[in-house]
Amino acid sequence: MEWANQLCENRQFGSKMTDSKYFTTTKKGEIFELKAELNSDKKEKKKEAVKKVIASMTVGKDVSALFPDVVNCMQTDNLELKKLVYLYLMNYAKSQPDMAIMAVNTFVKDCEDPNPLIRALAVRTMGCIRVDKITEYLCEPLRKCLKDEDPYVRKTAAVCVAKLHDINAQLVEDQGFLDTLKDLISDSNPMVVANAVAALSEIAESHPNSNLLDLNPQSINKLLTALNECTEWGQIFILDCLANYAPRDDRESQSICERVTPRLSHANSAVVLSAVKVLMKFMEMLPKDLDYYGTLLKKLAPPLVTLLSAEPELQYVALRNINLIVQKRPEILKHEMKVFFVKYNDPIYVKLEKLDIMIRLASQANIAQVLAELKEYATEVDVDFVRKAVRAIGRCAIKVEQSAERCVSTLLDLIQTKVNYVVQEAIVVIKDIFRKYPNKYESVIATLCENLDSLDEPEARAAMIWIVGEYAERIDNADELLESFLEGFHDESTQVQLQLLTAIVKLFLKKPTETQELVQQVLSLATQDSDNPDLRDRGYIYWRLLSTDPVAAKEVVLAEKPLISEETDLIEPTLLEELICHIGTLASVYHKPPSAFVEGSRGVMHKRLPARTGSGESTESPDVGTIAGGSGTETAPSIIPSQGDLLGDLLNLDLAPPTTTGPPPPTSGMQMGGMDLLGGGLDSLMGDESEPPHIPPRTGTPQSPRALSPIYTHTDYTCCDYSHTDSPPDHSPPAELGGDIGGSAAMGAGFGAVPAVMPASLNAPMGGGLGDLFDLGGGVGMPLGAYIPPKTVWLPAMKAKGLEISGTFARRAGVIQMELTLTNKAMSVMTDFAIQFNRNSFGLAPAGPLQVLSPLSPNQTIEVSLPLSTVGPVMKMEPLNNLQVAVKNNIDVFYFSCQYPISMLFVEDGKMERQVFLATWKDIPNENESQFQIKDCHLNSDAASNKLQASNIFTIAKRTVEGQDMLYMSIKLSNGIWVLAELRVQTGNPNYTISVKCRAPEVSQCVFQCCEAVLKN
Amino acid sequence: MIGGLFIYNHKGEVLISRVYRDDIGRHAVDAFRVNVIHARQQVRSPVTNIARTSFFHVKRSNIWLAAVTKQNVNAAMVFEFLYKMCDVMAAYFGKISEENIKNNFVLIYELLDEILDFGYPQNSETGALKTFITQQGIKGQVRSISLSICFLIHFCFFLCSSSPGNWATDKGRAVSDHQSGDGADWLALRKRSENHG
Repeated sequence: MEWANQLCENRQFGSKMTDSKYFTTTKKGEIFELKAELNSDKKEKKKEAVKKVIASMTVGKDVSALFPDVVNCMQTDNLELKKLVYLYLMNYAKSQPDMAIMAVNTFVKDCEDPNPLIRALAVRTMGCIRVDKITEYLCEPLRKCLKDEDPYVRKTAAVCVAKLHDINAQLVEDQGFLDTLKDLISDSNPMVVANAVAALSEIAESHPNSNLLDLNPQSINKLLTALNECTEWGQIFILDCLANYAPRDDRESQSICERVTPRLSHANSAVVLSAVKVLMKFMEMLPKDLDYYGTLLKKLAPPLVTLLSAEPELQYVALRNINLIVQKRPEILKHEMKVFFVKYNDPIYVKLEKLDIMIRLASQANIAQVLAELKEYATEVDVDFVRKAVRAIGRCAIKVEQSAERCVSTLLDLIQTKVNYVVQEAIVVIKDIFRKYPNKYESVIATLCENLDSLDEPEARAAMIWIVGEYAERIDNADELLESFLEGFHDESTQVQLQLLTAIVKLFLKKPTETQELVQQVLSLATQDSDNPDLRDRGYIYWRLLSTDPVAAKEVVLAEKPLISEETDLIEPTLLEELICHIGTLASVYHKPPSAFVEGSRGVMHKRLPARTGSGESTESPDVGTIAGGSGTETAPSIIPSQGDLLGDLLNLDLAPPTTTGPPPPTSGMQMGGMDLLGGGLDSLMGDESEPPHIPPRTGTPQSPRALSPIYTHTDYTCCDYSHTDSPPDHSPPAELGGDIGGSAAMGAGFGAVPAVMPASLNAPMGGGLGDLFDLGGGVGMPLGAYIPPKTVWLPAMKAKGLEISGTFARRAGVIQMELTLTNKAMSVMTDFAIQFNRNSFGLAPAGPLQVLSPLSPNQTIEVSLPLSTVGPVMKMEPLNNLQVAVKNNIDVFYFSCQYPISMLFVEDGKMERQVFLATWKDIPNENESQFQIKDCHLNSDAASNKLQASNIFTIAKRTVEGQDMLYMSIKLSNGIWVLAELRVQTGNPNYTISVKCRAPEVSQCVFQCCEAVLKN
Repeated sequence: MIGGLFIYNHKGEVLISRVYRDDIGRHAVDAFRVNVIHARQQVRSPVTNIARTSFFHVKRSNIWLAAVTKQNVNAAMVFEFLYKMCDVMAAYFGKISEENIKNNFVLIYELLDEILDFGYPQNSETGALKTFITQQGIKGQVRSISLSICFLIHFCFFLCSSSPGNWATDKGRAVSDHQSGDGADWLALRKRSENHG
């Protein structure tokens, strides 16, 4: 008997040996032959024929003509043959829908087969046939299979629901399959649970607002139980699903973390990465002082290191993710530098990623090792890798100050190798080193100049030109060098042209006598012979500047540049947060949000990390703990508008008319490349294209305020307020406008944009009078901006030994700014300004130093805007919005206090979902509600809504009841407190009623005052 | 999830093509050949995005295995799956070569149907798979005597193991408790080996 079996197997074996021949038969009349074979009586022959058909199908031949013949073979006991026929059906059913119906009966019959494998096979295949007629017949068998006694059938049926949903979502909902699928989450078999979770997750993704997955502590518990028992793939599905859950508090979050942690030692890298994702996400909610928090951090490092011994493709995925993790939580891997050293046999993509991470981890402790490695890499063969290594050395110099000298000497050694691309790359990074450590390494310039002729890449040429211009006074033949570049001016790339223009203007300002001809030549090349608008614009600005007032030109062009930041290529924080939520997935590999590469509704939903404060309840009286803790996530949107990727934001800024109420957010300096493209190069007016756009305002010269003011607009707010350049400078107000200090007179609608146009030499006291003046400007049609109160005098000159300070607060593009006017009314020069805040209710603190770059001479006035952060120390003040400020100069320290409008703290993403709004409104106890009257307001409800929206008070819904418009509005404060408001507007009645509800009722009064101020101005 | 799976030879000819998702068009198989296999410059990443479609590839000797998707899939999972698929194929017919793939293409389709359902990776432990995908793989053309003996032993093992109530996993653990039918047995087995693995 056994021998007989073997014989049989051997015959099968023999026939199989010829399978590859199916790939080669290309005779004519083949289809006809196949047709005959398919209808043969012999089982073996039939099977052979179907195999030939499948082979033809694979190599792309059209065998759809055989459809009826193949389907005829379907009714067979031979499982192998059945599978082949099914494979054919899946491929061709769509093109032959009418004939596909022939197969339905067999399918339905198979779904009742006693063999679970056949039942599963039938339901699996039916789901793959995207033909309406078949789908209709699928419902009944599917319903049975979902409740089948065999788990293998159930797990196949679970996936089939997802298939059916992809074909006809409505049908799945109507038939109630979603509920059955939800029930399967409680199935006794972990594989069924895993497939049900996978199917539900995918279906839920296409219904962003549905509550399909309905994760709650009970269902999470079930998932965590199944997690330990199912296959590696099932574990991935479950972990990825868990990552979407928002735990209620830190205790729940900790208990989930504890149960997920064992997955970190799984052999499958994807299980490990998905576990890391869950932990990274839920960790956000754990208090940092918790012991467990530290333990968890320590537990994350070893599995991440282990991933680097996986296959190279997985290493690549792991490294892309580690890149994100290191940016989010540098502490995890700070001691693991060595594993990121490049191995000689690593594929290039692994090498490049490792290099990136090495730079991120470089610190004083390990810099010697890192540099030694980098130096070695710079001598390898792969050009991209070598370039990146050279660049990395430069970045180390900028990051670790102690190593700068060693880095520079390493770079010089590399320049000596004379390898062309190494030299060019080195020059580009040395330029950055100069920017970081001015006046320190200029001795190397001579060496750089030796290589001038070998530079053929625009970036290197531009860098070299910048260096020559910047240090023109120390390079004897700077004019000759620059002149040599000028010969082929029109053949250069824009980058080089712009740099050359700036460098020559710098040279002229430094050595005016010898270079007059040169500067005229370059100005005429740029303005008259060039088609590039950026170049022309910059040329004209210089020309005008030089011809109007060379002294001012010098102050502008040769101004001290802000130092460049340490990390220039960090991922923007909101994007980073989103990517952390996508660890392990393609988004984390591309470092792009899913919406950037996924079509349709899937992936459009932006994921965010949970906030540390579990709920809004504890924010009643903001204490240091909650505010500082929440700041990591909560302040992010106030730095960057939450619209998505940075490039989009910049484009908005660039194209929008003056509606944009201020300079681009300071963080945009991080993505300098993009900035330069968009800003049309104007930001590099001051010298270098990589200069952050938020150059502090400079002192004006009293002699020529009219000519200068438009230029200041340009230099200070690079790409936004183009239109102001065109507005006549006649707005410079006469001195007598100074009266009426602090008056609350009607401000122009365009007041939001005013500080940008405000002439620099304006005398100090500015109040209602000035407001009136700009009211005129408003009439010209400047759109609505956020409400900015008029400047008031905070510190009179009498109290501060001649220093007078007036100011206001503004919120521009998500950044809170304190706008100060400093006037020196004393007889002596003032220098060394600095500013500090006392603790205050919302943790306002200066985000940078007070930028008064040149001494303030007697009778001089300057405008300074100081960006503020909300991460400072917190103390409740009375009144809530009181701010105590200390300003220091070379004479003394002065104290004053001022009140900021709380609307400065209203963040851009304060628009609540309607559902959430309703729930929250009900949730807040009635005793927290306060009612106020706003009198004498003559706006209709739409205009009011628009006005409020400009100040980040968002109207969620509008209802009209008996001639009364009810506006429901939400506001989010920078510390995460939500304020809900209902505004009642009755047509014809100038008095509005506003009800404010908030979990922290003390802010209600301030919010009301703001609404009133916004509406009346 | 994974939208489709392609196997190419070194020339870029398609040996196996299985599409699981409707969003993967017929051109996808050509896009990968043109942009990756025939690319002028060596492709420098195992993940390639071509016209909003992402391709993951691994290479075994001169065979390209590519998974394709239009969604934000778990990238680590896709690569793990591709490796696992290589393991499974190797367990059935030895070295992954053009010849072996052509010889076993029917088997490969059957395997793909089983281990990837609508793009979701399913159980892919060779031990368990061999209990219900019982086809034998065809290993190479060289049929030395030792190889034949090897096969004989293999077949004997297979025949023993496929008789109900007495089959063993490749890990050598006997499974005696039977639930309802083959599938359930298989699942019980799966659960065990997973617990130990």
